[in-house]
Amino acid sequence: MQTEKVSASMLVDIYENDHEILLVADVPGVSADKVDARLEHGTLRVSAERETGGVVYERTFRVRTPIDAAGVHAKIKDGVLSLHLPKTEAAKGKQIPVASS
Amino acid sequence: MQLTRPRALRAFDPFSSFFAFDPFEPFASDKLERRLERDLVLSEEDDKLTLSADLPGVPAEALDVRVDGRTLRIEAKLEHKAPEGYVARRVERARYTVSRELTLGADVDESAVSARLKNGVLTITLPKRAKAEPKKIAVVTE
Repeated sequence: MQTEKVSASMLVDIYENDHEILLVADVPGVSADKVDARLEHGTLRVSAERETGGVVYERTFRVRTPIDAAGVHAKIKDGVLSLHLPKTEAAKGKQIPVASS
Repeated sequence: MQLTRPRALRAFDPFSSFFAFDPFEPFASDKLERRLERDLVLSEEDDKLTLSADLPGVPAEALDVRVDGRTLRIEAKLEHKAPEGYVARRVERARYTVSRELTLGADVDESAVSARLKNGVLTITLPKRAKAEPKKIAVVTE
């Protein structure tokens, strides 16, 4: 019998440096082969399925910075997903204003 | 329960106007607002109690699990530092010490309790203390 999957959001931290955008997401109970990240037309869709409980974490983001799709890579450790999104060469030079505190 | 935290974060975020990332779908959508409400699950079987807790990114050395009689206490330090050389654009993941104390519904064998951490999920197995077999009393007719 197929159990119905429960969909849930995930909490993320997003970091940026000159070369890439780094998305860090809490996905407890998820192993590396159960993560799917797709970047299409500036939309990033991340989904990850838990080993038990039929839970699928899903979240979609709009990515304004041009990303080198071929260079996107991910790793998962202790239930935390790190998704590296390298900027395109053109985007690397762009200065991003940061408010000072 | 609907959590409005993501929306609040977005509204007060000083970076929002030049965010590289933005939620694509509106947060009003039920699907996105619903957070998983299973961060801690206690289950009972004939011979044991099992507790599972979601603790993503918490290494074993940052965990403190104690059993005292029928009290189970879990303490975890959540420290997520920004990686060096990066600027934080969005911060949602928890950063604090969480501590949970639970009262167990059965007497457990403290010496046999085990805890295992896998993919950010802590599983504590608490074998119940073996109950003495009920003793049959022979009834003698006088």
